[in-house]
Order: sequence, then structure tokens, then C-alpha cells
Amino acid sequence: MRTRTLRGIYRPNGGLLHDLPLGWKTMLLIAYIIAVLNIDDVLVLAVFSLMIGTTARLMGTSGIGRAAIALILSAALFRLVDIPALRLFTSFLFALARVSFINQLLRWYSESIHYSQLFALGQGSKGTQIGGEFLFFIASNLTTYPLIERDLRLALDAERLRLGHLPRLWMIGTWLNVLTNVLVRGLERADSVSHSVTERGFSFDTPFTINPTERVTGTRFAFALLTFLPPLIIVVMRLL
Amino acid sequence: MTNCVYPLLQGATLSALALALLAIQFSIVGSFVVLTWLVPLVFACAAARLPFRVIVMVVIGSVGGSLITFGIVTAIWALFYALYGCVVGVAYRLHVPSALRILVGAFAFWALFQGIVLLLILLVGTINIDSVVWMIDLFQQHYLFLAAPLVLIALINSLVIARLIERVFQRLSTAL
Repeated sequence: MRTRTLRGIYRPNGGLLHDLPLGWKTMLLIAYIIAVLNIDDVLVLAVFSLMIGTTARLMGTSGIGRAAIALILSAALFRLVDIPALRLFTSFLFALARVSFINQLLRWYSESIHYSQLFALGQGSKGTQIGGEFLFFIASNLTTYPLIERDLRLALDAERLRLGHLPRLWMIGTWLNVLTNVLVRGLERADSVSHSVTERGFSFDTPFTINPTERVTGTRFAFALLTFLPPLIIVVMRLL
Repeated sequence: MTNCVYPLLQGATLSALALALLAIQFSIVGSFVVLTWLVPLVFACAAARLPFRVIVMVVIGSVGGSLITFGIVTAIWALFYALYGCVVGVAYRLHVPSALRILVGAFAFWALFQGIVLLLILLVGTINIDSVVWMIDLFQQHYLFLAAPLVLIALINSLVIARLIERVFQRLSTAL
């Protein structure tokens, strides 16, 4: 049970994204999120999201392609339909598609991270202890985010079993029960993971051997640079 | 630092949950009606259980995360939820009597809500906050009319949060 908890939603894969150092991956993710939220132009958005979708598809990740198509369609609807009565609906659709796309990006990020990388990040930081803790906190926050979705589904299933019929999603009581469940599940997982690593002798104070596959090589550096350029160009163009 | 793993992971989970709920607010503008109960509850859990520096990380992570991903308006709401939740959580942590805790929570909600509206009024014209201009207009034009309901909403909200936080901790004490 605890071994399964430690895996999170990590999926073993020999791709370049998996082998990038975690700090780089986190920077890439943040750059992509900022870029997705800053693009309003449908054509640029289409090229950008299709590029991400294709890369993800080539790396064997599903789901992001559908989210990319939904993003493009909702952006087109938002920009082209100029009827005031429909404005609220189209902006809602566009916001939902953006959140869904970011959710897929986060899932992609989480699938490429093993908990051991997270702990090595907290420990291998060259900065202060607080800096290392904060890096660890941010990376585990981003990794936990997609697990919330899974917890939510499980909590809704539990609510359905408890009630004996489909939960009424418009009632506040349903959401209060579901949120309590999600909170308890999340905190239990945190408890389980920290107990597992402590029992295995992990300590932030003792040296940690970094996996040789995570070391920086020329190919990985070139890959990171190539993937980092599109969001950087978009953000710089937006700022100018 | 070994023992830091547990609070840090708990903090990360709570911060991720707060961000997930704020994503709903980013998508559905009117959802703050329900989220004023749910999001502060998450921050209250953090403030009631975790060490001070992890609470600061949770607040910075959630507010900073929502500023980067969802923009300034959602970040201001996140700050409001975080501060309100922290007041409720700290009151719970200090074992303040129930009635006093509800009053402190209600006052915090009232004061912070005034603060957030004032902040939004100050920011109008400097940044793009079209989505909440209707709320600001409503407050500027009918402030006296809305003052009494706001006190009532603050009291109800504080009562609900006080009940919810007890329920969550009851569940947690049996689960963990």
C-alpha cells in the first residue's frame, strides 16, 4: 500500500522530458502556464497548443490533444462570437478550456516525476534550508494538484454509495461532504508518504545520490532550450 | 529537518486543494458565493495544524500560484480567503471559546471584505479588472444599504466555518 502511495501517478518512460532535472521541468511548466494564459490570438494559440499536443502525443501521453482542441475551439468562439448575450457563456467556456489545458499540463508534469526526485530537490538545493524547503514545497504542490482530481472522483463515488443515488451537485451539502472527504484523503496521503520515507531512513540532512539518468547532458540541455523558447517568445511579445 | 517532511507535504496538499478551488472561481465568476465557505476552510486547516513557516508557504504558494495562473482578481480573492482562513484557524489553534471564535471570525470576514473592495476600487483604472466592476459599482452606490446584510453574511459565514472546521478535525482524528 505504502509503496503504491510513493509512486503517485508517476509513469516510467525513457523520454527526454522524464530525464530533465526537476528544477528545469518546474521552470518549463510555469513558463507554459503563463504563456497559455497570456495568448488571446486564436492562430497563435492554435499553433502553440498543437505543438504541445503533438509533443505530448509523441511522448505517449494521452488527453492533452483533446484539451488542446477544446482550447482552440473555445478561443475561436470567444474571439469570433460578438453577441453580448453570449459573452458570459463564451468567456466561461474559454476560461474552462484554459483551466482544463493547464490541468493536462500538470498531469503531464506529475507523470514524469517520481517522489525520489522531489526529495532530492529539497535536499540538493544549494541555497538556504528555507530555500530548499520552499522548492520542495512548490514541486510537491504541483505534483499533488492532479491527484486532487482523482481524490475528487473517489469522493464523489463515495458520496454516491453513501446516498444510494447520484449526488445532487447543485446542493452545498454535497460539496461540503465531498470536500471533507478530499481533505481527509489528501492529508492521509501526506501522512502515508512521510511515514514511508522516514521508515526507509530518509533524512534531508544526509547526502542523497542523484539518479545518473537525471544528470545534465548536451542533448537534454538542447531539448530544454528548444521547449523553453516558444513560451518565452510569447511572454516577451506580450510584454512588449 | 527530517520531521519537516510531514508538515511540508500536508501544506503542499492543502495549497494544491486551495488552488483547485480557486480554478473554479476563475472559471465561474459567481462561484465565490460557495467558495467563501470552502476555500477559507482549507487555509483554516493549515493554520490550525501546521508550523508557522509552512503556513506562510501555503499562503505564498496559493496567492502566488493564483496570481501567476489566474490573474490579479483571483489572487486578491485568494489573499482574502487566506487571511480569513488563517484568522479562523489560529483562533481554533489557540482554543478560543466557541462563541468568541465565531465573533472573531465574523469581524475578520467583515473587515477583510471591506479591505478587498477598497483594494479593488484603488486598482480600477490601473489594471484590467472588468469582471468585478459591477461589484464595485454596487458597493459604491448602495454601501449603507449593503452594510447590514454584510454583517449578517459575516456572522452566518463564521458560524458555518466554525461548524465545518470541527467536523473536518473530527473526521481527521478518526482517520489518521
